[in-house]
Amino acid sequence: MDKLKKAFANIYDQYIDKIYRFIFLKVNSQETAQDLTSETFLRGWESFKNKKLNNQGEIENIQAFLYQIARNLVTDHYREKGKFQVVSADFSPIIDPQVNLEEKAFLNSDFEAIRQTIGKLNEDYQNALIWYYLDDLPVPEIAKMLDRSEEATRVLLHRALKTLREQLNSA
Amino acid sequence: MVSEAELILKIRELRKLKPEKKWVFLAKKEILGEMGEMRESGVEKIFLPVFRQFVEAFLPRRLTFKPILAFSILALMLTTGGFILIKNTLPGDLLYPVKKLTERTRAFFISQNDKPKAGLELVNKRLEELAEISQTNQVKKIAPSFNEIKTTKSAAKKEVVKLIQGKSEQEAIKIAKEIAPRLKEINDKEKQVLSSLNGDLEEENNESTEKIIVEFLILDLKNSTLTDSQAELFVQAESYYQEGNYSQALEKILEVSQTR
Repeated sequence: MDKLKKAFANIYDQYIDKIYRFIFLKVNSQETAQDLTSETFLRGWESFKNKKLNNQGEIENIQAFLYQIARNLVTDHYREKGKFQVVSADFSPIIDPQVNLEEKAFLNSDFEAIRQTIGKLNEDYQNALIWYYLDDLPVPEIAKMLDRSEEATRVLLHRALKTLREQLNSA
Repeated sequence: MVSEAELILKIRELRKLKPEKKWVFLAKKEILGEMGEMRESGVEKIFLPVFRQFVEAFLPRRLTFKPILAFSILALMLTTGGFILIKNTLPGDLLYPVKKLTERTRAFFISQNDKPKAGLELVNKRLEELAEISQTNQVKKIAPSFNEIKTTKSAAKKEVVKLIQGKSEQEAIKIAKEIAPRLKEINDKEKQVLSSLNGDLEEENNESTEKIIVEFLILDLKNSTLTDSQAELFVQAESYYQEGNYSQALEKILEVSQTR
């Protein structure tokens, strides 16, 4: 069991930032993002552990698996909470403290605008933009996760970027 | 109007969105529970492989298959003054592996909570060895000494991180406060010794442990009442932290503690 925990601990370390960011951009609340991210990895750990212990092989693509859990949890979250987005009272996005203060002030306004606008896009546009531009996933992998062809995924990315640009420019 | 290229750059800025480190630690502990130590059962699992290495290094080959005899020779060496000889060996010396062996055997009996401090003490010893090598101009031993320092430092820092991970915020702060002065001591000693050699250890990720320690100390000071001069030092510490200069941040934080 120690070996399994160690293996999953490495997976946790590798993907925690990405999964957190993915969820945070959708739910706009630090507490909710923390809760849903914890739940994602908890479910991921249960599946990972059970597969190994029952000799059912390995999860083929752990990253895609974790993203799928995260997507489902976000969907459930909105289903339960209705269409209202909960904004944390002491919300402050955690930005890498290595950014100096002057840069931070400039970044904050653009940063906030992009963050909020992405949060308002439809789910497929959000996912495509996050996975392609933030996580550097290749188009074939994104296509599999979205259950689309590669060509359709490229079109989706193009439309997502265009929509984001239009919404930012109109703001 | 934002161009597409500008927009992509702005999207990529969102990579700076990260979860809080202490939450990451706590969530990991909650999900995986106590990882437990990968303890090796019995002294043998640590002692024997290193002992075998030592034996094969300079005792006749026929003795490597006679551990009792080899062990007796080792015991004789250690009890007849060989001990002093071994204690003063330096990296690159023939008997240096024996010195490392005794240190590792001693380390086996140290509790998990004390391992980080013991690890940092070993780093101190390695730096003292390098200082001696530098003073006595034993040029051939510089490279092995550098390697020993890098390895020992990396191991010590891993122990620090291991101890802090999964602890509550208060416990982590307490550990950080204990470790911080030793870390500074080592940083100062390292600068002093390396400056005489015009050398650089070229470690990878050598600041991640300092970063974690400084983060918890900053957290502690944020919740404390500070005098004006302490507050000024704290602001300087935070500024160094944000620049990524963790050793300077650590120094400033320790200055705050000294004036409390």
